[in-house]
Amino acid sequence: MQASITTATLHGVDAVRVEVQADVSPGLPIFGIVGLADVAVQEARDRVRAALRAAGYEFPNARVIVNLAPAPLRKHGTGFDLPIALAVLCATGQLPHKVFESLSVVGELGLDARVREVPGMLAHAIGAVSRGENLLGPAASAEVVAVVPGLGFHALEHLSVLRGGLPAVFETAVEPDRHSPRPPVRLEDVAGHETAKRCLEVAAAGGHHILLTGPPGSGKTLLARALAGLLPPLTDRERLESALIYSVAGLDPMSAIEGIRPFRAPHHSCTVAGLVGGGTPPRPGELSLAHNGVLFLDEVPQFAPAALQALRQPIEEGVVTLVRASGAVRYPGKITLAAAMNPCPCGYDGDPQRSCTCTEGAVHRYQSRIGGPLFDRMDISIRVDRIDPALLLDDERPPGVSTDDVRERVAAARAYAMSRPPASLRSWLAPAARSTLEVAGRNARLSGRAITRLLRVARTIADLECTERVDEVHVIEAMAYRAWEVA
Amino acid sequence: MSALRFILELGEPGYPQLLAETPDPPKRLYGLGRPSALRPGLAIIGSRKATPYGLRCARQFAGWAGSAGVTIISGAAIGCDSEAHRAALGAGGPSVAVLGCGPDVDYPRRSADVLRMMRTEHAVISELPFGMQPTRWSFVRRNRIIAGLARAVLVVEAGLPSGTFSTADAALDAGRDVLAVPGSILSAESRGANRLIRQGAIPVTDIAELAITLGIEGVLSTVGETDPKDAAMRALAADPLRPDDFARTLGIDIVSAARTLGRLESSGAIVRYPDGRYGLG
Repeated sequence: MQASITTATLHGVDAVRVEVQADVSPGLPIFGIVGLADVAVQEARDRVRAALRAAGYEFPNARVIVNLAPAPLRKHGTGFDLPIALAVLCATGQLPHKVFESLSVVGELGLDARVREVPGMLAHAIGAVSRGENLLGPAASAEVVAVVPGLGFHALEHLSVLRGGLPAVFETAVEPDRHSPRPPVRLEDVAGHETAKRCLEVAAAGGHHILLTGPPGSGKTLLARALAGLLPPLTDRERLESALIYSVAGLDPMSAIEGIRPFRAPHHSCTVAGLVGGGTPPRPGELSLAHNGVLFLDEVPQFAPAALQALRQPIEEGVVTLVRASGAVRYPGKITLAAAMNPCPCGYDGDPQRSCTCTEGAVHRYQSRIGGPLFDRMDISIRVDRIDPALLLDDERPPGVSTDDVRERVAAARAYAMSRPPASLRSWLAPAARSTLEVAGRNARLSGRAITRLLRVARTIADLECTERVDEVHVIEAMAYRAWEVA
Repeated sequence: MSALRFILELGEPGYPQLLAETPDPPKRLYGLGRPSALRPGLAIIGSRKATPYGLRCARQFAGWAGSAGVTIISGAAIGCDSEAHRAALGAGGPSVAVLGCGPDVDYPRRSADVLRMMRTEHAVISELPFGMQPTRWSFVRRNRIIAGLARAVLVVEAGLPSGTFSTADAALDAGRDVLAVPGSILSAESRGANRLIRQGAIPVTDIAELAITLGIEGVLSTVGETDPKDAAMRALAADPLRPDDFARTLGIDIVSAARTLGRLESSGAIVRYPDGRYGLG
């Protein structure tokens, strides 16, 4: 007797439909799985056998062959446990096959027959909706998949429950709270650095890449962390996109579902695969986990050059395409890059009080570690110097800007930018601004990309003032935040 | 395009007279270009990690001396040295580079373009034979040749410690004048030059003074001074400032400060230093 159950396997952030076919025939009792299944899927045999017994079903004393179709597609993960178990149960007539038609099934089984969560439940949910199917899966995932619009989700706690029929479609009454994160660092906690704070405001409003350079202990990391608190909550669409990546990576997507923009700060020992994604089976990297949020690289010259250079193309395109022998996988990665570095190996080059002990060549080598092309992609570059101790310790220091104020301005600027009619960047330029930009571009020999980036920053500065026209002052301010040339 | 090689032996005709009179002249000089370019001139030396101030001084003094026909002698190092060569060549003046490696070796690499120009039109010399790679000690040794070829040595910028001191010492040993451009007493990059002045170097504050020292008449131009037009320029002329300090000094908000600085920078009135401060270029 035969039965088939629909499930899916992850390919990038997509769930690709897979049919689990079971054939139970008389013969020598074996249990075989065919159809390019990886080790985790092969091990399903032992889990399924034990789970069936634990749930009070009977594992057939016959020849059981499970095929995963389409056979040429590589399948991985433990989400096949539940569909394999159901296919066997239907093929042996222990459960009615009809119930599981037009239903997608995903879940891992424990030996005790509990249904456990698997990575990528959101991808499975989105895939099921696009195929017009309901999803049967682990009860623990019910809260998460509830964000997918139009999904009918049958939450299954234990395999034995199915004996009483399919569980009812899960209904969630509560819309998850949406709030901005409680920032770990607030702008008002950082003394001085008013120019750098303004740069953070512009970066947050326009999603511009920002580089902070300065001696050790000057506050670069603190400032970069404050950036997280300036970002507005995720929009509905971004929420789902970001949560999807977290889900596929096997991380808790709840923070994204609550609307908190991702802020990822990988350590500089991060590998290429860790940063942009990779491995077998492919997993999204930090770049994709920071999708719609901030990727913060502290001590950026310490990162492996290969890892840094791997960021170049995804930064431009907002998506990373990993091509492997087994095929190409795409992960989204639209990020705001924040980077911090010392100006030289000893850290004190250009410090007014402390002299640098590095040779000119060492400084040059250090700065060129991040490479011209990546440097060219930094929209805003700001020097962060040690501040006057008096200012740091002064109880009555001027309060400076606050995170709440800036976040409001950022949200207003983003809203204004959305409301602008779509038009090319150039068309907003006032004549005086245009000629200023032209002269500056020629004098500083800016690349086409550098000029475009300058224009985008100027556009954001105008957005912060909610003015449609990009005036000369906006261009000039943008130029003041432009990266200095690599020596 | 290929430059002419020449070898000058101490005591034979063609060997620079001034250099031969120094306490420790090299036995043999290897060179590329024109031996006739080895005329007595002005050595302009300074820090490799030069500030815009040092570069500007090197440029202005070398440019002026070059246009007056004075040979500019230096070591082709990055920073003040190559800036002086460039300015001299730009002004159409003769220039001689003394290297710490074979005269045909492009070192430092970033000075390769100036070296190429000097090898065809002027002279690049060394006491090390063709093809020799640089060593740590060879630079200190070559400093005495720079000093020996020159009538006077001008230090445009030096921190502490500084390699320019060995050239200054060699100049004193050879009985040459040591001149120095004073810098801000607050700047670490000027401590060396200021100390030289305290130790007896002749301070050079404008071109007229330099001309008198070199014994050249008929000086026309002077070092460009900034006209303190407004408060912003006055503040920056006193000392290079970070945007935050600039805003505080002028009592304006940070956005106006960034815009004022950006405007002054794009008009060329001020420059942004690599350390993020703004000052006169």
